[in-house]
Amino acid sequence: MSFAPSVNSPKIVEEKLQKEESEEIEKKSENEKTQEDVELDLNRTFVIEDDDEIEFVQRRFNTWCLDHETTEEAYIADDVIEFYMKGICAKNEKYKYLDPCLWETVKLEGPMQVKQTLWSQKTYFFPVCEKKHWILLIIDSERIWYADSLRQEPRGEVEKFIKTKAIAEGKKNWYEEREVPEFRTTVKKMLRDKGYELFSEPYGQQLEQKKQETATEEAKIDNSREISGYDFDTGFDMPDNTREVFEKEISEEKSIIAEEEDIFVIDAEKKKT
Amino acid sequence: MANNAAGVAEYMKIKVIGQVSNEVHFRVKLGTSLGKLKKAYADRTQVTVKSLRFLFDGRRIEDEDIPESLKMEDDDSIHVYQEQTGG
Repeated sequence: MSFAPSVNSPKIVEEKLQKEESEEIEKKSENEKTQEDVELDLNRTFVIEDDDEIEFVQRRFNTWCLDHETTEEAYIADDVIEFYMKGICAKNEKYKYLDPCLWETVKLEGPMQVKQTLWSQKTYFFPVCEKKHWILLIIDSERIWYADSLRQEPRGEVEKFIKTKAIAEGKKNWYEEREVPEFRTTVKKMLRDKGYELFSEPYGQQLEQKKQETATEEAKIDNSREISGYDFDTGFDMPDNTREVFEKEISEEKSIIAEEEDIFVIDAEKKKT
Repeated sequence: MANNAAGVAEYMKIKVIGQVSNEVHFRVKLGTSLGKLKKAYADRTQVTVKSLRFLFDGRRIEDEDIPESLKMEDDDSIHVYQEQTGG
């Protein structure tokens, strides 16, 4: 059998489509016969008849995000999330999901809008899009779990929602306080099992050690106790010259203060005389 | 009319509620595919259907769904949301 897909396959597809279309047309004509002469109240009510000619758009999948993988264009739309959630939850009765759109309702009308899921025996996945970032809330019979790929703490509306259940049950946090040490212990054990050497130090000092190992100018290292190159807000290392800029600024400030003091002294001396 | 008795039960009123709580009412048959309702609403509000999400009872409405399969009753409401994107 000869195989030339580039020529043959499009034709086959077209034929199939035509078949489907003709079947649809047949169905439509059947419907037309069944509904006739119905008087309708048109007072702010629009009527949709079966013979209205509305063309259906074929199911399509936008691959824009795949084609722009390295840019911000790679945003994920809610229907992709919903499709995935549906797939996950179809396999297991125990898991259900809330539509990501419901987050808008929760924000407007309060978390009690999804009350039945907060105290359900099933585990609910709730994908939430806040400020152009997707996070996942997992709601089970006991508490709400929070998953964020950016490793941020829950904030704003999300934080409020997470706390709702705990507050309603008379707890202080969305997690049990006794769970924190438990969690630490298990994580440490896991790391040790994997062969990690564990230590506990503030991040500034850790960085200093690293610098001591790698830096060539030893004079700079001594001063780095005062101004660490580690930015605690972002967690990123600041550029190498930041410390120099800082020092320059501070020395300039000092000189200005010194000048002002001098002026004061001069003024005071003038007044005396 | 001959089909009056059946006609009453056949048609139902459905409210479509937007995010700024504007309501549009539709009258549909039990067997009408809701894709038509979606399209009609989008035309009324002059937005493309693709950017709108229709939820009934917390569930997304597909084009093939009909009021009967979703167990819709007279005066039930459908909520409309805008599409969301995030990274």
